[in-house]
Amino acid sequence: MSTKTPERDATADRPGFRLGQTEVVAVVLLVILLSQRWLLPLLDHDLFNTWGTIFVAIVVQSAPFLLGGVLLSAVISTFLSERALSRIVPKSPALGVPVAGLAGIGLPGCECAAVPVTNSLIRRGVAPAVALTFLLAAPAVNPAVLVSTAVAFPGQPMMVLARFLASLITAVAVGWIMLARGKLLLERLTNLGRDEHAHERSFLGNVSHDFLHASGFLVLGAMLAAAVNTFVPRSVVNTVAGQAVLGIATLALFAFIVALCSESDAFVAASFTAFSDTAKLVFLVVGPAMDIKLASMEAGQFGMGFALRFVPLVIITAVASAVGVGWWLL
Amino acid sequence: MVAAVTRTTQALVVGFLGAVLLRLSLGEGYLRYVTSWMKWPLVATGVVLLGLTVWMLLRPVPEADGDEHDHDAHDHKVPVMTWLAIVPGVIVFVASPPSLGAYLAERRADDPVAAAPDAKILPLPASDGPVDVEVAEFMWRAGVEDGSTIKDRDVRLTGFVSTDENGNWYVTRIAIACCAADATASRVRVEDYDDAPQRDSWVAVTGRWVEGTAPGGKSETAIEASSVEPREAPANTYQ
Repeated sequence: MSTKTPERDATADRPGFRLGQTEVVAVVLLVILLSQRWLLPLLDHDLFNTWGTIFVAIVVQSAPFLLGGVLLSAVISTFLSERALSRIVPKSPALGVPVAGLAGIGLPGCECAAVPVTNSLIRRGVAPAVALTFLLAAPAVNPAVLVSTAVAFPGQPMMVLARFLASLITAVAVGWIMLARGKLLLERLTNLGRDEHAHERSFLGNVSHDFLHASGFLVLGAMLAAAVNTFVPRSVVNTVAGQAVLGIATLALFAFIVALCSESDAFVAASFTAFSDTAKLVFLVVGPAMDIKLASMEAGQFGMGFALRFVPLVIITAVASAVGVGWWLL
Repeated sequence: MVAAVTRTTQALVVGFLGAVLLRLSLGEGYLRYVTSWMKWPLVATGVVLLGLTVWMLLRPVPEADGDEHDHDAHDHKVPVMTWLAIVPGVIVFVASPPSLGAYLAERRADDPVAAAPDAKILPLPASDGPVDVEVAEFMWRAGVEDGSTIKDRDVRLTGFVSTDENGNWYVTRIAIACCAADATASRVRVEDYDDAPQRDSWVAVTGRWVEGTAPGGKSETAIEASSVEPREAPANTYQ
């Protein structure tokens, strides 16, 4: 009997193999739980505590939305036939892109829910450009987000309209760009071809598979976002508020690295009082479309090569769209 | 090298996360991290994850590696990153991160606070004794109409104690809109009361607004304290 975890574990969980990885993990977890009393004082530090609170908060807040997204995606993978789906989604992808953008209004969840749903749509034969348009639109244009924006910006209804339009334009523009020149991008969707078993698995099989695939990457993104939130003082951001271009670039970058939920980012945006309204709009449009947590989950679901191209494409499109709409409406 | 996650361990990872969410949401622990309306979604998520764990443990184990008939067998190819899913639970149990407090409030103290509500500011209710006012409300009342709605009124502010490098202390509240990641702090300097209570302890400060102090003004919003009483920290420390 060996305590060393063999490489074969990836393919075997044989009866008779007693002290394996599972037992080691279980013992480690048990030791951690029992030693809580002694570990606690060692870790009692303001900086670590603040990071820990924000990190756990992001994970706790996201978990129900992630599970909801995974359940919906398992319904799509297991029960929705390709024929049924093709009746809902327009045949021409060029038309499908704007339809997918508007369909985003109907999924009032945060961005974590949208990633597994998008994955299952692609597995079910929806054109990747169409599914990814849905991914970008869903967290940004749903009613919950628009209402919270209206609450955060009292007396500024144009901000709500501008956010809706700029986010929708971003999603549709990225979808069309991928249709027109997306060969390079879509060839990188490496992880999707591998999962040809999705429709053969049971409903619960799909739920557990998708949840396990997404949760680790969500946690990684949350760790990074919490670190930025804790260690980068907001006053650093405020120093560039006066400059138009630098202000926009700073808030776009900040939206990417703090990775706030799209339901609450409007309240943070409203507190950037020194920035122009256009810069705040950039913050609100970039955040739901792309942030460090989403980038991490997308790298996990769709492959690193794809994420490296998709992430900058989305950010640049979102900034351009927000600046254009902001210049027109605000 | 980190080993891939086996089938039974996968169940353990999911079950652990579910148990952590359930433990947080059935007590008051979740209020340190998210708003109160998240309680039932979190309970439901915990229950579903635990149910999923049972199913993952009970489902048939493939008889041989080459068995192509059991398609659920393909589940076991999950990324190494899945290991990270146990980190939040470990941190909750080991470090049990507390509500955000003075440390964050002191770092965020110079952030501009969101503007006062647009609606007409109502006067404080008539009362013989001091009127309870939220810290953030006190601040925006100080900034509107030269503070006329709080001028010469006895008010009571409840919050925790934070300090600054000049030896001042403040009655402080943190507001969250969604989760602790979007926290904003508001605080009012307490004057004429030299023995600062312990940092992060909860107090009720009774006193009057110091005229001319307001957010963004020459001098930060302040209260001239007539009494300071210790208070129990509320279950939900956020606004």
